Amino acid sequence: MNFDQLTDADIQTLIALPKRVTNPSVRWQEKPGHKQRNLKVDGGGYSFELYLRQSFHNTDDFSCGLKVIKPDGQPLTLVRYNGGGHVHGEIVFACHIHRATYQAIAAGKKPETHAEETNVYRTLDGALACLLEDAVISGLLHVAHDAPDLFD
Amino acid sequence: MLEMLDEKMLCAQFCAQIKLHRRDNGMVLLETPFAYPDGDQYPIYLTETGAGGLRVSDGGHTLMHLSYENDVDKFFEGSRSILLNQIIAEQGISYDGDSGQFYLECAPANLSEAAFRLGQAITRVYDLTFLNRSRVASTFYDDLQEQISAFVSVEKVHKNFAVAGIPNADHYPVDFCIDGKNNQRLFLFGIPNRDKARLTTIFLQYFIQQRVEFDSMLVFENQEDIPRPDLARLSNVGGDMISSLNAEDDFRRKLLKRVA
Repeated sequence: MNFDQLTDADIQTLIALPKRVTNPSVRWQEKPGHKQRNLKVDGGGYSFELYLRQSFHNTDDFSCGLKVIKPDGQPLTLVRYNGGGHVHGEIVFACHIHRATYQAIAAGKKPETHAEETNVYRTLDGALACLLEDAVISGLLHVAHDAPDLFD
Repeated sequence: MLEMLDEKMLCAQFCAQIKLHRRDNGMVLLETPFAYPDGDQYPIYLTETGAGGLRVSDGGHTLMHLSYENDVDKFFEGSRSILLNQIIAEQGISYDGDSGQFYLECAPANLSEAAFRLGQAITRVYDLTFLNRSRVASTFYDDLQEQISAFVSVEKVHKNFAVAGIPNADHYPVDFCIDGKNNQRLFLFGIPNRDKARLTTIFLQYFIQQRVEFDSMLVFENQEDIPRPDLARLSNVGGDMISSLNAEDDFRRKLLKRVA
């Protein structure tokens, strides 16, 4: 795979590769204003990192994302599942999923600039459950989808 | 064209990009056009101060956003820390180390100026990522060796190889000599910068002058960073080129063609 010229098919291949968390017992760390957890993930001969972030200031401000570590050691975010703590273009304070695209890379933008609104999760745990499923990541226990919102 | 511009129209354009959001959780946020490189807009939180003013803050989101791809502790060490403090002073904002928030306080009449100052400050803080060490060549040779090892068995690779039978061979070390097909040796050089490009040109010219039998391969950290005249001289004496370690498939294909 040529990581300098990733196509949408390459990106989808990386996302869909079966993967496994290799350090599932890693603990949360407190940082100024948020807590974070970084997990190492292997799959298909590639190294990935799964990262979780939760703001202390605003419960709606959370993120979990999957980065692939390129051969030159640099990370590239493939997907990131955000909470509704901020605006993204036309998406106004709603949960949204970022995804790397060939178009963004070719245009010299951040690869994961593209984002789409979603209502499949409302919390960080729910977002993580969706990400684990969508990116075929195993090895993390006790992760559950958000219960359906009765008011939706 | 310039005569047709008027301030009312300009103000309306600016205002259209500014919105006040009162959230269900009681928080009040200001929407502005300021955004991170991935398109996420800066959340700008507004709260009342005890003295009847407003506190304008990023809610700690800037550091959290930076943490996606950076170790945020590094922003409080060494030269980054100096630059961070300089930004804070120049923009007239404050940083609360407990909550991780960049903020400033103002009278309601000065809210727009405060929001712009905070927005500019966050932009400058985010741009500190340009100082990342990982963009420097220090790990390049380690990464190169690791990638060679992934394709070629260890016993075929000779690091810092001195070519036997030529004068001053120790002065012309080959980064990696790889045993190739039909007893043909492949001299592989890593090229992280212009100086190494020039040095490798001299080495290759010397080997040719000494009638050494070899093939060569040049792997750049980033070929686009090498000035054109240096690249042209190197191209004249060198063999296959790999533009960066990210061209993994091309590197493997060219390497295995000569080695496997």
